[in-house]
Amino acid sequence: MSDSMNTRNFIALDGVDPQTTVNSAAIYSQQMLYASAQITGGTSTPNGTLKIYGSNEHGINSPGLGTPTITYWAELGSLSATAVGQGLAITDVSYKWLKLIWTNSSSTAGTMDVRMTIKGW
Amino acid sequence: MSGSFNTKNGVLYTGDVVGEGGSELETDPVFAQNMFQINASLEVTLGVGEQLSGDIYLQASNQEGNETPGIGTTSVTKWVTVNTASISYSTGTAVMPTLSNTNFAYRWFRFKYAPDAAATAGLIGTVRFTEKGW
Repeated sequence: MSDSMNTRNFIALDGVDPQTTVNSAAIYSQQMLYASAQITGGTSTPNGTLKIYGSNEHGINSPGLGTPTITYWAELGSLSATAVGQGLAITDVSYKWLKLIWTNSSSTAGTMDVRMTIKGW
Repeated sequence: MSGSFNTKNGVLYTGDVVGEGGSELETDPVFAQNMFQINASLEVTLGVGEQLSGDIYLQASNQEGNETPGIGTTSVTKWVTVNTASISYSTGTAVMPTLSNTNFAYRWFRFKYAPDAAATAGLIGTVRFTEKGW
């Protein structure tokens, strides 16, 4: 693997209830340019909208230490999802923070996992 | 060659590309978390009267798979299509349908070929890829 490209792969929504509206934690992305989110598992058949949002709020002085409070978000991408395996990607990420919001339409009962990859330098 | 640009080029598959009953060809996953430009090609030399047709796909996944890519095999089962094309070649020549993605934001990719009913059974081909990042 390259020593210079900065990447992360992680679970952004872990075993959440897709029959509710769910927000991920704020994800520090100031040095990132690419992001994707994919519904990778769970026991539900999800049916709803998965969106990626960005924010330029300051949030916190030391990202990774503590939880930032961020109020203002701009929508960067949207996916109408009907099955596990579907995903969306955005490029030219120019915000400091990212987050996911899942909004239910008609998911079946169960859980849902969403895994993200972010890439930069 | 640059000492910092990170590139890989290799063969993902060589063999029968139109399986028995027209079954689909799906390559093994390729680790691409640190890559942002990828492409994959299906190389086939067609004889007279032979046909390569159907749909090709470039698919991506964020599943974790193998924690240490490159060591051992990996299991990735959930795929999202990031590029696709319908293909149809029937001349007696060398053909190379290719799919690319220049803003690749996922962890893994693979190449898939779904032959249609007109594709010639028993065609031999190679799937080759290049990926670039830092």
